[in-house]
Amino acid sequence: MDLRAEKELVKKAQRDPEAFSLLYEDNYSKIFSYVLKRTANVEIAQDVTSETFFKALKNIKRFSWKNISLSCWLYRIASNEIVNYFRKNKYKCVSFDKIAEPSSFLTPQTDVMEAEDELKKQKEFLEIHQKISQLPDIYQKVIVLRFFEKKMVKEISEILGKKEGTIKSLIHRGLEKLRKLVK
Amino acid sequence: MPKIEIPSHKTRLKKALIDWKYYKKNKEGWFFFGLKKFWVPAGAIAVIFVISVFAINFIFPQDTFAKVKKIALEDPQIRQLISEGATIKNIEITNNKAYVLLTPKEGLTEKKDSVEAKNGKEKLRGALAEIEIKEKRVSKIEEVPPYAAPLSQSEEEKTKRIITESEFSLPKAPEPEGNSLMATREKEEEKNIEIEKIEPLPTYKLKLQKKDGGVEILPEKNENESVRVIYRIDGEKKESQIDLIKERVEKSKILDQEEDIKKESEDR
Repeated sequence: MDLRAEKELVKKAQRDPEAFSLLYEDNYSKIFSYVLKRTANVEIAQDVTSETFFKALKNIKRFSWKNISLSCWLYRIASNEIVNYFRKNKYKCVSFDKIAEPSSFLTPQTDVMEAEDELKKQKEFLEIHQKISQLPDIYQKVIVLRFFEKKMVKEISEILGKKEGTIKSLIHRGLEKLRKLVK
Repeated sequence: MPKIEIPSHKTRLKKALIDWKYYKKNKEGWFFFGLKKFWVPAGAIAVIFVISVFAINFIFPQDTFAKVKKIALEDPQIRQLISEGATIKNIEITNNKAYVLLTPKEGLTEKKDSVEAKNGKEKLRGALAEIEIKEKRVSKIEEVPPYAAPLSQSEEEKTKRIITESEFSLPKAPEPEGNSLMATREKEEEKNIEIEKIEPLPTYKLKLQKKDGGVEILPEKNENESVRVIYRIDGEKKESQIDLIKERVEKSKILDQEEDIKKESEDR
């Protein structure tokens, strides 16, 4: 989807749920995957992804003022939500709690359990994640976006709102720090 | 790392988002929301416009007029004119210049008839002052002559009628105008009233009007309020001042007797 078409859809999504559905379908997997790689926890990934989309919908009117793609904007929200998660003693996904039927969350879903099992199998990832999670937040962001999400430096700079040169040096320094941790 | 997905979460989250109050609120309030989208900025623009118009037309000009008046009153020539009985009649502002019209106070002109003015006993003057607002100074003062409109035929006829009615003490005609006019004409012929001269009395009832980046002086009315008439009746020469609005003779004197008195005093 090109930027202009996406902006039109975003504008339409302000009052049309169908338009928002299209944007959601286009971006859900990317955001969930990113959050999962950042947190290495299926439950947290669900909560943070939910909160990310609720915040996006709540602020969608403001989106047209930002000269970045919607996915970049969603990555940015998700990154902030991850920080919020780790900052708060007890992360509370307020919006989702209010609207969702509690019963549906009390019963563990099969696909959730499957996802957890699948994640547990990814030992190499979990090991490296354990090291990455020891890095300051900004390095975690750039490393996950660059090497797990395969984002270009330009895209990372748009997501994080920083200059490309800064991103390059952050990646460089982040990798150095990670190397030290791995050794 | 393989792609890990939770389809149930994706579906539930989508449903939750669409069912969320955000869309419900927007759906219910869309009509008003649409109106609000239009009326709030339109209302704000209207309010700003009204305030601007108010400020431009009422607050700032008043402030400028006050400044202009202050500059004018500080000028010695204008102060002299005011001490002689002039007053600020009108102020107009155009192209960073202010124009101040000074005319004799109302009532003063009426006290001094044309004869007094001719004798030069007291001279009432009008003036137009040009003020440079930025430099805060009076740049030019011109004397403004009083204005008299050319005598119209109806004014001439009215004058004759008033003089005739006055000379023969005819009551003001309650009957149709034609009958009254016929009666006065009959009397005029009978007593032989001979009008020698009717001249409009100039007035300072003037006003300023913006024109071509400057101003022009115009009379407040295009008709004369009073005239001076010289006439002969039964061998006597008289001069009367007539108020055409009130339709009455204001002043009257016999000129022949005055001339005789003058001649006698000269002989002595």
